[in-house]
Amino acid sequence: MKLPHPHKPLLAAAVCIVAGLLVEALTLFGNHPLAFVAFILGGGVLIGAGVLLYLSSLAFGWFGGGDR
Amino acid sequence: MTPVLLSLITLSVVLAAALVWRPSLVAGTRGRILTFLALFLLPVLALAFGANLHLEKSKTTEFCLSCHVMEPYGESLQLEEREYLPAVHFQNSLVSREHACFTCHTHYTMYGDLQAKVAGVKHLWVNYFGTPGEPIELYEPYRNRECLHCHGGARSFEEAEFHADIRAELTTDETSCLECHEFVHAVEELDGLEKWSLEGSS
Repeated sequence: MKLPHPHKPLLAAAVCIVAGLLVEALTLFGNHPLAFVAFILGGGVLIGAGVLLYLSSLAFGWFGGGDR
Repeated sequence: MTPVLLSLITLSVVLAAALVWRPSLVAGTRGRILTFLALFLLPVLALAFGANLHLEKSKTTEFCLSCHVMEPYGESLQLEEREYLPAVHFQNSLVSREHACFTCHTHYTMYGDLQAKVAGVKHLWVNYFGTPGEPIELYEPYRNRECLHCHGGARSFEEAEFHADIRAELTTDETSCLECHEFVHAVEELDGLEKWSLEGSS
């Protein structure tokens, strides 16, 4: 799958978010301090990174160039 | 809460995964709205609801007692003798059984919940990367404020003659409630003490 350059940050953001959401979903089944830590350090960090990447792509104009 | 959150997570994953497999979906106005939903709004909502759910779970007795080091403290809630404060509170539903540890061990201040969470992370660190004390001890002396949060103003408390005599001292922590009500978790003596169980009493 060869992608135009502007889409790559969005793909990275989507991959981070999917991974983070899957980690979050797994932690919801646990009622243990380690599940809480996995939620923060795994899910939280991955989702946060994905969202920041998406917002950066908006702020720096990485997003939208590929469809022109 | 959990089914709603899991549905939200599933929807977010499906939309974000769709963007991974079909990058052309981001094109156009609809694509941008879809991208905003998939990569911002839904994940942020899922994270916020997830954090709230985990924070609520962390207040449960089950959560506190899930660590091995806390097991004797859970057991102490079943002591038969009525002198033991945690047991008498737990067994008579003076505190919610689902939130027994949190009810007495949070700080009833503006940032008490937050402080409890920070302390919880510290407990976790010590449990896995340090050596918990035997028995484990509070970081600071137990404050009367936590007792008075419920007992202050309660008729049984206020009408007790001795409480009235030292009411000011209790409010300022000059005299600790635990000086008179001295039997608490007693984890070192558990083996020799009789236990009560809800099943056995009915």
